Amino acid sequence: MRIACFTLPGFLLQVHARSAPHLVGTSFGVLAETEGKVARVVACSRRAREEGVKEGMTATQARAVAPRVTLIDAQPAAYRQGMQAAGEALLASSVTVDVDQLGTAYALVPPRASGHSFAERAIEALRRLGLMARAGVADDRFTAWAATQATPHEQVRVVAHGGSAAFLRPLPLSLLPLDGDVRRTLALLGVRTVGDFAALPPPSVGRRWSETAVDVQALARGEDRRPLCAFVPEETIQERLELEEEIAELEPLLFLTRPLLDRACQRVVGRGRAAARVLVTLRGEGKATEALLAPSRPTPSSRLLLDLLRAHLAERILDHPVQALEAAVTEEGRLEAQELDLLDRAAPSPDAVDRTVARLRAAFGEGAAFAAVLEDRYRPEAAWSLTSFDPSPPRRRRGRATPRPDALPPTAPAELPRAGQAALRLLDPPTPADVDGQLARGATLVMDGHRHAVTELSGPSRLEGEWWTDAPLGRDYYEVETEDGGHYWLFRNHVDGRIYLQGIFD
Amino acid sequence: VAELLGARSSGKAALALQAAARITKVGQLVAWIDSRRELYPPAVAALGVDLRRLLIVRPPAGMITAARAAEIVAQSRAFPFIVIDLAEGRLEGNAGARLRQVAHDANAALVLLAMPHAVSSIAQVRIEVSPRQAILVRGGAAPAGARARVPWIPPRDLSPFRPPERRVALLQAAPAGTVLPRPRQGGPASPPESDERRRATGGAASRSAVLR
Repeated sequence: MRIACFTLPGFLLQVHARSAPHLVGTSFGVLAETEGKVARVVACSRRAREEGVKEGMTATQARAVAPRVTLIDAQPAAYRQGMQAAGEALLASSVTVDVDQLGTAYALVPPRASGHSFAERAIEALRRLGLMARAGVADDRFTAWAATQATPHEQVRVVAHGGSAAFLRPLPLSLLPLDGDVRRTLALLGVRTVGDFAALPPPSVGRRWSETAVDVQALARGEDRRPLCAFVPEETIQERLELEEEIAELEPLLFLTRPLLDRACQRVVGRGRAAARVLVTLRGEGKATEALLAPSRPTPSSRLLLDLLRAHLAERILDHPVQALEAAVTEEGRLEAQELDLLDRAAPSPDAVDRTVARLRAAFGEGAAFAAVLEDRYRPEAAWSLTSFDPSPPRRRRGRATPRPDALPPTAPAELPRAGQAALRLLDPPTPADVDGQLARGATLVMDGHRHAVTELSGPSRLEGEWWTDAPLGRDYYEVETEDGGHYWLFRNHVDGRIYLQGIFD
Repeated sequence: VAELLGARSSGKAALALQAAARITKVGQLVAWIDSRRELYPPAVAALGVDLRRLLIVRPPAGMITAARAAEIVAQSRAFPFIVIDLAEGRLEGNAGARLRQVAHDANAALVLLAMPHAVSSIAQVRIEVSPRQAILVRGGAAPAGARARVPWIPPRDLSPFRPPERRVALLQAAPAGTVLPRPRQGGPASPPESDERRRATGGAASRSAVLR
């Protein structure tokens, strides 16, 4: 079992920036009251930090050092929605997601999936939701989290299977959830890394030093056994966008609503559901205009919802400019796959086909798009040739009987295929292969530098001809199955006695 | 967008061509983006594909060019079935997202053939193909992690060296609606059979139903 941890650095700032994109790159901070005392800065942007703002300052102190800083009150509901969105994005690619705390989420890497590519896909899904993340993949939760902290410049860090202890060993002790006093005591004793702490004899360490009653030394040894607590999305999906300037025209409004609906749809699809009712609210000048989008069947398509919104707003005259947009999925429905009918369609337009072939040839060269026609030749490489793509039915000749509509097309073989035609992939020219000893069961076949043990072999099937040309054809064909599941079509060339790979059954 | 994942000789190309044969038989067009440059038309015709209705596109090597070629084909709206035979890597990023949108707009089915490790994020249906079974790993409204197995006869049984009767049925499957068991560890899955069918055939004919 592999676990991926996703940390969203500066999560509070990210949540505010995704609903108010004009804050990006500016000097701003988040104020929160702690234990009923005066509100203090709990997070600030890089620009604010450069101007001297620090976490822990009061609003007055922050404005004293940076007069232009924008201070925003903390919005716990928005943070919950942000983590909810992150969890839903991860649910789209993993069956078990744990939204642990603000800014951190875990997901089970699907079996047989590469940890790295899974993490990259998940990060891309989070990015589409407006959240930037780093990922660590390891055998346990703590190591996966530590991987995101150890190398912040790497977007994805994968710790090899069974390599948790070795990975954690050189990391600083500050990563472990220990009280400050304990950490200072350990520092005085010369315990500075996670590896030093893991090496202490367990009875002298004590098992529950952390506030969360976690066996800290087990974490340090890469043996975090805490399971993932499955995240079940329950809250209504809400997305909000605050505009820097007021807008009154329809097209710019729709342009800005698109990403909002994209996010809402991505989240609802992450739940394995579709949007049945979406309430879009346009706010400005203290007024609100609502548009209820109700597709005929639940839909995962933001484009459809946008079309519905366009139709809705086109019939109205807004009596106020818009300062903020909100989209809420008020009702969800089953996500049903829409099945295409591939077989019963109108005939394709010949003009459209011609244009397509012309575009392909212009883009990739004259020989890049073609149809194939079979040739009556025994040499497998020469058994077909290129022809122009013309799918229109052949013209009837006078005096001939009309072919039955269900008759096979003229290019389809009327007989069973000749030798080699079942090899769906043909290598042209054939590539040389080497055999250790005789080509027989148990022999080793060397192709492209890889060794394959032969488990099944049939043949030879001799193909001879073209003796009247300068390059006569003389080959003994074999069908070979290898231990790794490969199924090949080989021949021994009579001219040079070598073995060649002609095709691959796939 | 569906992807067929499988190693060499898994039969993924045969599976896609079987669908192509069905589509060309009713007069529709199929495009095959042959990035690997290995498609062999005589074998394609042997599987029942009407070569006149199969457009073969061989763009220069590379993922972006393959996606671009498929996009041009999809934009025509003349090809309801487009196969991209990926040489290596996976289709992702902007090119993948744009292709998915174009295919959606054109009501076209897009099938990606790729190696097992090259999972694309744009696919809505993922089928892992191995010589004896095709596993639906993810599909449509099915919850993530749902799996179904569809046993089928691999293309090796099309071989000209095998008895002719084995060439008749290439793609075979369990009866529709059968719940398929997971394979035992260390051995291949036995083909599933419904009780009704088992009684009717004496337990030996579950491989004779055609995939619907």
